[in-house]
Amino acid sequence: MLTIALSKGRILEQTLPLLKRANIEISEEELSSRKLILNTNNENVKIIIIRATDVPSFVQHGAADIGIAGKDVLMEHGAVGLFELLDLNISKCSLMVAATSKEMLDQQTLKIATKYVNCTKQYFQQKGQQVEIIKLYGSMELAPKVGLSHCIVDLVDTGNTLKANGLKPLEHIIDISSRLIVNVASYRTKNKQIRGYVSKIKGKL
Amino acid sequence: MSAWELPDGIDELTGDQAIAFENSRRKLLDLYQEKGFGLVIPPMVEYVESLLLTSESLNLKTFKFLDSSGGRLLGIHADITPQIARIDAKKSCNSVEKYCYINAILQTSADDFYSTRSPIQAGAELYGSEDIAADIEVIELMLESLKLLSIDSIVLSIGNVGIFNSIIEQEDLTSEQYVLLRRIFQSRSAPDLNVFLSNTKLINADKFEKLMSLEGGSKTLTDALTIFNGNSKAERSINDLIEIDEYFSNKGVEVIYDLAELKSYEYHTGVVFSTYSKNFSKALAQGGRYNGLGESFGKYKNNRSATGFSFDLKFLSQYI
Repeated sequence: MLTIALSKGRILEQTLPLLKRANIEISEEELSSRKLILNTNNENVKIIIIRATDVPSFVQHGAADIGIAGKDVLMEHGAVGLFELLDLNISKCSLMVAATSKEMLDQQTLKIATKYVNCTKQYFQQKGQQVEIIKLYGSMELAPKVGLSHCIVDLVDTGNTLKANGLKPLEHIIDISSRLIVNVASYRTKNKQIRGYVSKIKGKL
Repeated sequence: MSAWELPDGIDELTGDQAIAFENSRRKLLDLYQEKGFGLVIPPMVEYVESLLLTSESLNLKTFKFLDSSGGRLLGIHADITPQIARIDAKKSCNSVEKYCYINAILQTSADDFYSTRSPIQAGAELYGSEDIAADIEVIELMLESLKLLSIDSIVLSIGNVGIFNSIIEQEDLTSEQYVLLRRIFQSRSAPDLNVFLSNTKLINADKFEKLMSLEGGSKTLTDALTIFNGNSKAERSINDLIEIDEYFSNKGVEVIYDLAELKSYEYHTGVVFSTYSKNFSKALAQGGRYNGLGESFGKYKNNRSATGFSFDLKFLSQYI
């Protein structure tokens, strides 16, 4: 039995064609149900639907053998104890520093609003910039506008949301895309099975 | 806080679990004595210099405090291996020495979700033999230990850190770049390796790329010989694995070769190995060769060869 962890939304939509090429298909009926464990056309493969941020934990602890997670989620989680085998080149965007103007970044101690606390800390540590981080769970763009922070660190796709809220993308931290991750023990004990699926998916990328 | 509450990652064994642990401990010690591995009981506390050696990962895992009587920094052992290196160095001999131990250790952070910060580490170490037969002897003893604990469906994963070391020693990397490259290999992240190689000029860039994907059955080793043709250190490391492969070919053990395996502690220098079982989502026992660890104690001009394994007996005894 092989369990694959996916999150609903863009990642699920963009992953389905990749899985299909590896002969793993989920029926429309299963997809539209409210079930969290989905059957596939292969009785030995199950899909579990979880929050994007939980995918690394499920895979790390062996509750799922394989998972698809964004690089942002993996960096924030730490992703120790799992293998990150493929860049699927889907759900692409960038992790960026944004503020109303470049001058806002010129602070003795920079106040930053973000949900990516670890990535932010690491990035500014490497730059040698003292920062204070406020963890927010959404509506990040509001923070500089209401004086909560000098800037934000967030994912930027088209940049339209930033623009609509008077912010500019100023520093590029890292390119983000979805990665295929595997539990280390599963990769050993189900080696042939997992390598078979991975090479089929890789071959089609 | 309630008075009965234990700190995060600290647990205890009671009732049947405690009995199962103690029975296993006795059986393991009998096995190790029978195989000629002498019991050592290292102290819980030592000066940090002898506990940490050169491992930054071990440094982060070790609880430290100031010795008020002398002002020196003490540490609580987070891994027994450096202590065995000290004990062996103190003997100052050139003969083959075999040690075993079953000791409670303490770590600042658990290895993983299923581990605690207070494992009871069981293990065996063989000093003074460079021969591949020594590696095979400790791997065999590790497998026998797991069999004794009724762990079945074992998959043995074997690598050789010597291959990675043979190419990285030719590169001029900063310590940050070295740590990052190790981390990339530990997560087998081919995408991150591509980014690293595009940002950092390496003489052996193509070799690092190929090394990361070198895993599988016996054929992996012949492929590796072709890739590292002309690199005598890497060839020697691969030939060691070929000898191991020949030995295990008819032993009924499922073996996977993973040549990108580096292990979490930096002191490993040669053949490294881990065991997995279908019923567990983490490595159950692991170890490898760590020649020269005793050099820190100033006794040996030459590398004192050593290899060994360890596992968390407290964790495994819960499943017996």
